[in-house]
Amino acid sequence: MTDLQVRPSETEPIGPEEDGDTATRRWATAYPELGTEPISTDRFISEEFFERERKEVFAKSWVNVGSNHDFPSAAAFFVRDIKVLGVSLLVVRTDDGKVQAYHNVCSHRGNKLIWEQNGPCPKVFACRFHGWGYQATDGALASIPDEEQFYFSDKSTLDLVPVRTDTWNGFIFVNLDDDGTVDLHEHLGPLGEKLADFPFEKLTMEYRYDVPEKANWKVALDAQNEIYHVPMLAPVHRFLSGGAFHTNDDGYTRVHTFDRLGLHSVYTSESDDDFQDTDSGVANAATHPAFGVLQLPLETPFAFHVVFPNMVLAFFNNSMFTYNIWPEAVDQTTWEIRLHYPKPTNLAERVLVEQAKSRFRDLLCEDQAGHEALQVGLTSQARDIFVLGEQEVQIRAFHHNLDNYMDGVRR
Amino acid sequence: MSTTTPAPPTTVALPAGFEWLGRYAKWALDGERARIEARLTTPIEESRLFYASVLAEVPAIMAHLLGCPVDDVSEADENLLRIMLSYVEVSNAVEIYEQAEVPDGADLRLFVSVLEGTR
Repeated sequence: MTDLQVRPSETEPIGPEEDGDTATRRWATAYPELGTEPISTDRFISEEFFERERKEVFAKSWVNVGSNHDFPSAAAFFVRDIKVLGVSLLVVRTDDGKVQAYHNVCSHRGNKLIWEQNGPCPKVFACRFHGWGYQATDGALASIPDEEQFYFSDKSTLDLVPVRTDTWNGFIFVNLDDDGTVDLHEHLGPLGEKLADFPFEKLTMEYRYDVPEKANWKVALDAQNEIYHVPMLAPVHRFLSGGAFHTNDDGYTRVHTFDRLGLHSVYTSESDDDFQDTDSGVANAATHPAFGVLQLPLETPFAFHVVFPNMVLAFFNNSMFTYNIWPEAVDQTTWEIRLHYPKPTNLAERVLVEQAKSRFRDLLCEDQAGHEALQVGLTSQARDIFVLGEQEVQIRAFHHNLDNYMDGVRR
Repeated sequence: MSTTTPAPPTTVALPAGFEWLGRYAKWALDGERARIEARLTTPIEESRLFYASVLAEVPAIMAHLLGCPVDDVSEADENLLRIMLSYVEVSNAVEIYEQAEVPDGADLRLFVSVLEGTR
């Protein structure tokens, strides 16, 4: 953190006003521990900082690696490679519904065990190199071709190596820290409680994009983690600021609510009644108004949760979008985007879901170019600080939580 | 993954009453990759005419599609759906951007669902 005299010393904090639209210092007042200072840009370009994130955050935290939508059948598996940790994980769901991740590594000579992305669960996972087979139920080494040729003192040490695994509402998390003592429930804390009863089962994953980008993972996350940019950035953004996101009399968006939830946080936005959709938007929706009725128990049409360390879980009208922002190098990231909608039951609903997706996808495409441009600017080191305003409070909270986690704070 | 797409169809079966959409057979494309490619490579004026023709008949087309369950779709209904999905794909380009590409945006080709072909 850079220590600069940025706080005007004569200005008294003003509390939230009735409608919250014109209140200044609303979030600085509500969360004084977050401060109002600029943050250092070093954290986006430093190899040392990236190494610390690898060792102190990703190797020691619960990380979301998928959801029940990744299983093609009731008993099934998928493979998740986590580049920042240098691991490949075989995530298995057995007939009883239990989910367990293992290192996707054969105990014989270290071959990557399963090369497919996903599939129905076999009885035995067989290595393609020499055919060693592992029971799907528990990862135990079940069969070795030409077994008498080997010298074993204790074959039970050759079972697949399990990884701490747990699930919450269909989302699958792993923790690579075998010595860690915080369970998933504790890690999710108030966020887990807030969304404990959310009807996630109403939504299916309809689209997934894995977008490579030359930017630090936190640049991508920060860029998405505010709605300040919505009236300014680009055409679809500006279009949505015409009411899909509420704007005040000056045309600026406003965070409606913001809550710190342990390691996580959430902000929401209202919408305005005067939003005028495009001709096709209006015409398409008019053919099937029932599909547009909100089916999710949301108080506002937009809610954006950051799930520490690298996940976003957000709702926008009848959809849920999640981001898993995967660091690969200090300036290389894969932005994994998942779009969930109520499952279309007929072809007209298929069209309406496609419309929601196309518009949102174009919105993200507008955002994505900015991520790489941001990284160029940060790398230039023209500036060594990054200033954040009231409407960017969730960005501030994220960096605060990140620093805390590196200091050993776990909730 | 290959980035070449097959040549678009020149004639397609369509449900009764929608044969007139046959002039837009080239838009009955299979999958996001092909539709994005068509959006990006078709002159915006041509996309606009296609969009306008479909928009005018959206109530009739959608009324028909409402009656088509997602499973066990006939070839004719599938083609009608594909044409509608292309109309959706070009809608932003026509209505908001007034050009094919996302201005100052990333390459739209990066945004092809990895689930394509599995849903």
